[in-house]
Amino acid sequence: MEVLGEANTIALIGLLGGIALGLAARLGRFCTLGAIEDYLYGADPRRMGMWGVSVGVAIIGTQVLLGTAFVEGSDVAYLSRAWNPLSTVIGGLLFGYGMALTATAATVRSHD
Amino acid sequence: MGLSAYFVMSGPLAHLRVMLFPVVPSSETSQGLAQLLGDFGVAPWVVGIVAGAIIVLASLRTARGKPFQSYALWGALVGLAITSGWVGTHWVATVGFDGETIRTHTFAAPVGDTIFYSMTASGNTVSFSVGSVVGVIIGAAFGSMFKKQFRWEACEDPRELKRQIFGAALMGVGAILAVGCSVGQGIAAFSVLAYSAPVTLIAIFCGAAFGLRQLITGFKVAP
Repeated sequence: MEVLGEANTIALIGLLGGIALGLAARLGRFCTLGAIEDYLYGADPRRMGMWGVSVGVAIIGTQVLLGTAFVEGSDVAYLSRAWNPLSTVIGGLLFGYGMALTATAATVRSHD
Repeated sequence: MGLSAYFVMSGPLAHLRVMLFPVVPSSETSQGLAQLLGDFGVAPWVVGIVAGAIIVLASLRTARGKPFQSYALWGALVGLAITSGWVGTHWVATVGFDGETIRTHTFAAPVGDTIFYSMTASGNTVSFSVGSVVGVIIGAAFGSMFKKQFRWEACEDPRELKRQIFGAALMGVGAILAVGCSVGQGIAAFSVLAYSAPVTLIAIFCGAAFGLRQLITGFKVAP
């Protein structure tokens, strides 16, 4: 870290995790929209299951960190602001609808 | 999408957003489900680990006999990548002095951050978001090449281009209002068990189901 500097170290950590996510998307077919589509139109809940495994593993990993006091929960932005449910619901609906609209033609055509 | 996120986060529509949906920092308690249960004398992280284990087990049951191993492994890798963000940024924040914030992989504002960085790099410092977004592009590119699927794609017609740009813009606005995208709220906020995470996920699911229905079957009334 002394050599790289703090900002660069953080960017490097981000880069490595990002590469893992990119590989998971291509090689593992990790995709939120794809999971929803498989589930609703392909009668295949497995990609939803993959999504669930990610959430579960992330929860376990993160909670272990919190439990060992390695990370302070109060430092995390998601927990330190008051929740506005209306904003969450409207934002989520817009995001989901937008996500579906960006589906490629191949996605749509495969159901014609 | 990155642009429209910034447009609402700190751009021309930022004041309107804050007026409609004020951001209130909560000083007293954490907005977490586990902390809520923790009031009954259970350590929050124990609640969290149990909840995580239940979600993993329930997810493993979705396969119903079909091959699921590779899905489970890739899913676990995604979960670990999100955890690695917390670990890494916390380590630097603790060891270092620059006051780096603790964060992990999310993809609404960071795409905007990356665009911003690419325009202002000489007078700016690189950040976790920029590394993460560039990492995803590299990972996805290598993944495609490895599978020999790499190809350039274009929109079929102007209608599709319009639909995709409009969709991406909605994603940016939605993600800022919901304080996170499918990964940011869905996995990262879920991993600290924020109240908002499951609600956002359900809303994203409903929005996507509506959009997919419009694209795939349309809304014609059955004869």
